[in-house]
Amino acid sequence: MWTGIVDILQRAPEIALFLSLAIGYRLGSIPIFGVTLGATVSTLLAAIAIGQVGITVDPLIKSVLFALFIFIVGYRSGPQFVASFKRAAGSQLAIAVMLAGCGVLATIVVARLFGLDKGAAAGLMAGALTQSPALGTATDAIGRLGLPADQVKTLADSAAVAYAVTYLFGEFGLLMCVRNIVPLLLRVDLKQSARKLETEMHETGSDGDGAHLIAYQPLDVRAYRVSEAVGSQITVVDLEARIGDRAFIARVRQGDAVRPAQRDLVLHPGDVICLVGHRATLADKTAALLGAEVDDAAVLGVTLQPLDVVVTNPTADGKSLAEIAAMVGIRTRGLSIASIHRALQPLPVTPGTRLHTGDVVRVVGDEPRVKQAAEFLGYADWPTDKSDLVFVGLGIVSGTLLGLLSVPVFGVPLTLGTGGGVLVAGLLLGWLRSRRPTFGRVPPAAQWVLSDFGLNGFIATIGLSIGGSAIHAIAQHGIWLLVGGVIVTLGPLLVATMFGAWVLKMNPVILCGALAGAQTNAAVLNAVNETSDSSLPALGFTLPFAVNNMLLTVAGPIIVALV
Amino acid sequence: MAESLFGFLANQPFVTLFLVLGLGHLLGRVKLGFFSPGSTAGALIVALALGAFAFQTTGVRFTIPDLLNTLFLALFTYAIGLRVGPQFVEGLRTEGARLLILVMITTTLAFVIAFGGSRMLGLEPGFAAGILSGSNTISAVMGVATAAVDQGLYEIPAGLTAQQVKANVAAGYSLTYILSVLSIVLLVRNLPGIFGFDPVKAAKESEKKFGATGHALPGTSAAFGVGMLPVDVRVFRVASESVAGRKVSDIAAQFATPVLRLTRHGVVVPLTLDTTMERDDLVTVGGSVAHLLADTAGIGPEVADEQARHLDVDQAEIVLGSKAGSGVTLEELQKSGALYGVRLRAVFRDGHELPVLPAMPLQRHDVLRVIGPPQAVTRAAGQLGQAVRPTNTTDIITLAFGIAAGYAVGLVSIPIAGIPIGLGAMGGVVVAGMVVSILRSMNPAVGGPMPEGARAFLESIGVDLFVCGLGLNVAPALVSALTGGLTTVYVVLLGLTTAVVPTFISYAFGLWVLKMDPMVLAGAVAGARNSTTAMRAISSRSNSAIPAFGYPVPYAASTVVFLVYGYLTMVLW
Repeated sequence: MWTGIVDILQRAPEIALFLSLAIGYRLGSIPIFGVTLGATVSTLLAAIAIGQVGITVDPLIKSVLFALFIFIVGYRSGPQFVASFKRAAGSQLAIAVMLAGCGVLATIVVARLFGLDKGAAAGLMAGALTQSPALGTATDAIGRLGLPADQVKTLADSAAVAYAVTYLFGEFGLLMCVRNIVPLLLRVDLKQSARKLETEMHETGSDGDGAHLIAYQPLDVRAYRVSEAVGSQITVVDLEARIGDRAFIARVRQGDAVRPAQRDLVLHPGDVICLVGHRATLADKTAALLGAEVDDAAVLGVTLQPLDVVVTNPTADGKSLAEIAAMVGIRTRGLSIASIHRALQPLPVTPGTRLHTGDVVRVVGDEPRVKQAAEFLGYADWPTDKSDLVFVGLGIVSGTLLGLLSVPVFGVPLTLGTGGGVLVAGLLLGWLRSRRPTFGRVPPAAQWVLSDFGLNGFIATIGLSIGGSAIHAIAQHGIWLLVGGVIVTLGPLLVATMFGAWVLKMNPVILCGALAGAQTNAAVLNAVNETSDSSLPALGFTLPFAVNNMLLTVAGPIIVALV
Repeated sequence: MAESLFGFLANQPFVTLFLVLGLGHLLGRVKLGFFSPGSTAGALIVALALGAFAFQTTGVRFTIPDLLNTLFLALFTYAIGLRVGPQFVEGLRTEGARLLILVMITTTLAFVIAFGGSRMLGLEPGFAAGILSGSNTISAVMGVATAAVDQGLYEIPAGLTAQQVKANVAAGYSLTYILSVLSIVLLVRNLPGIFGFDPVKAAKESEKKFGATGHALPGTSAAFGVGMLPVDVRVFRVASESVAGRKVSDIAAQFATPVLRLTRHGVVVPLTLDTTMERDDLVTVGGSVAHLLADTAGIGPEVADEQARHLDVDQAEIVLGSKAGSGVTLEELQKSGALYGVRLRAVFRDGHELPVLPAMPLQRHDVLRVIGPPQAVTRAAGQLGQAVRPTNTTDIITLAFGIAAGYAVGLVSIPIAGIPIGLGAMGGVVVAGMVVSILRSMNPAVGGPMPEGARAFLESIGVDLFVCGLGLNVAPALVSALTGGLTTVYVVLLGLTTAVVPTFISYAFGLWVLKMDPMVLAGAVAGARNSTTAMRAISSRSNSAIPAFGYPVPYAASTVVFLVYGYLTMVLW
């Protein structure tokens, strides 16, 4: 039986890989003293255990999974990362840089002190700061040192084991420290500070994150019975002009017949019209103007198609909506603009609003009309669940090539490495897409599965190939790894806390959020939210999170180079 | 130049793989008239071309580890299983028998032609499986066949290597793929015409025969599609003396439209059922248009207040737990206040939609699909059971365990009459995917979440990275396989026959023997041939969605049956 299982696992390493993931995710979601380990480190532990039967996994698989992961990390944080430098948030940036810098410094000191090799040092940093991607970039950098294959494997294995050993305290110790020690250091009651900040900021009630659909749509569709007061013999287009505000009549019921509203159709009292327009228009004035509102399913059953159109056409660039309407003329009848976004930020929709290349305009109307609008403005971004794999594939290729470039600095060739290159490529492309979303769609659900499966699949392949010998070797100075991990987890955090509180004089609530972000740890943010009984720490979280996701990931190869 | 480039690519298989993926997808987008090769064929063509060219000019071979290929193939196969599971069962139950007969005719004929033809023409081992795969445009069949070779289920004759056999499979696939996509689209588009029907007129008649369709099943990709909401939300200012000073719940009962939000002096008031209203409050109510028109004028004038109107809406599927109690009716639930503020969109039991009737007793594990403000949905879920909300996260535990278990089960084979009969690794994985999706359609709280964006992504990147790796690996062997010129001609002709003849015969059979509707039948034969493109072609030809009715069941069935035949083609050779 046992030999049968071992045989299957060796013959089909796929099973071993998927099994490690399944077990890892399960273990990672079990809370221990209220803290869950997370999928990554428990996947590694499961994979190391399964890998003891002796499984070989080609390193290419590792690189492919890691590349997919790191590309999507860049892609996701690109817009945020670039935008963060425009916002005046220097102190948050300083916290992030301070923490990352201290982390690297502490790791180097610890490595020198305890005589750790390059692999163990990089693994220790990745684990102690719970930054799993750094393990990937470090492993990648180790492969590039030009050492014989067996040494590369030894170093990479010791990186993975050091990561696993230090990760536990990295997560637990960090949470304990942020919950208990940081508030002591700051000498404030976080709850009170949060209340005070809230009153300062007039926080408005939000409905939480769970909501994904907004019922508020500026457009409404209603049916009215045309009254005697409207007068007989009025055409559709004249009545529309009388209502104004770009409201339009989509359908008309005359007797039993329901027909589309041609512009020259003559309306009579008693006809039922389906009116589409902005809610304010419909709620405020139409009933008085037209007659009674009615419920008429046949008339109301128009399908209005919302479509996101990206402005790419040079003729539309720089023009105001009014100018565009004049250019297009009568064809804009029956079209409404629901929203305009520039670089993910909403713009007001007024006749004077000027469009620029890359703006996303959501037009609403029947399908032929929205298609026409898309042709005039540029690119139609039809909603789809499909991902743009040209973008992913060529993005990763260009990132790898970028990572192969080396620039000599003081005689030392510096490279981004594959991981760093792909990360930067993802970041740039993600940012470009936010500016001009005509390419590179990767739906959020696909991003999620890509980054999770990519990272943890990568971690699992590392774990599977760690043999028993590596564990023995590391067990000899395992205690020093633990001690070193504690230093690297707590040292930078405490330094950054004091720096933020005493030098930068940051608001303690924002500072706590910034610390969680600089540690790139959402669990810490949750803990801080709980201690302060507020969601305000999130204000400090995003920017340091985006910045240190980059800095700490790139720190992996730096450790490998400097130790 | 070429030498150093290919040398670089061979040293960096990683770059090569993603380069081929990207270029292949670009090629897949090229349109020649209404025909485009599609991403999978595009990736395969680029991989084969690059591999063959590098080998011919510089002798460079690319090697992508097989584990990588099967890993991604497994992800793809599992994703396919997830997609077809519930349709498969549902189809079996309703139109079942007739559609399955069509599938069996089409697939068996294709198998006989590809297998027998290759035998008669004396083609090398591997071509038959490649032809079957390519001429039916199912790349997974190719995966099953190469997996059979890898697992040693096919005994390779002396003088040949596994690499060569796999190269033959890929050659057969790529030579027949493009022509058969083209031919099947042309054929299905014109089938009703050939048999004397005017497609537009026939589709109009079929539309009359087939009435309304239900809601998408729980846990399936379309479950949270918003669609047209029969609900309208409006804001009124409290002006009537009879309303001011009364409780929110009273208003809800009187006007049959729940109060969803209360705004007082520009501030949103936390809402409970006992909150009382004051003059000049803005009351946000939701309900069907008829109710709103008939009754709400009693509150006060309608206002267009953006803040009051800016309401978040949440969707969820609530799986009834034991708390709700068995046998309670919808009417009783409404009265108890558990469903206050949410609108019931559909009710499901064991993966079937139930009519929404007030007096219908509910059972444990029934699924209520509701929509409403987040607090109302949360309240309803808290009182009734477990809520499943749309999300972007994927349950990796089920995904990983499902693939591992399916793969392991697929490896088990039982020798019958000397032939080892088993699902094959990929067969096991597709069944695992189907089982999971069927379970999820009965209880969406199980084995999820698995959003459509993630599923579609795994499907497309899975198959495409697989064919990239396969193409690069086998390209050198392909070059030698095709140097015998006659083989190429045989393979192409055999592929065309396999693509067209079975579909034609099963259409005639469906029309004359099974007496099926000509337009639904056209969709069904497209499904039996596993061609979404063909189904789209006949839909656009007939200006109607009616062919889509016949499509899913044969599609799901033929996906599975073709996998089995692909496996047999290799094992029985």
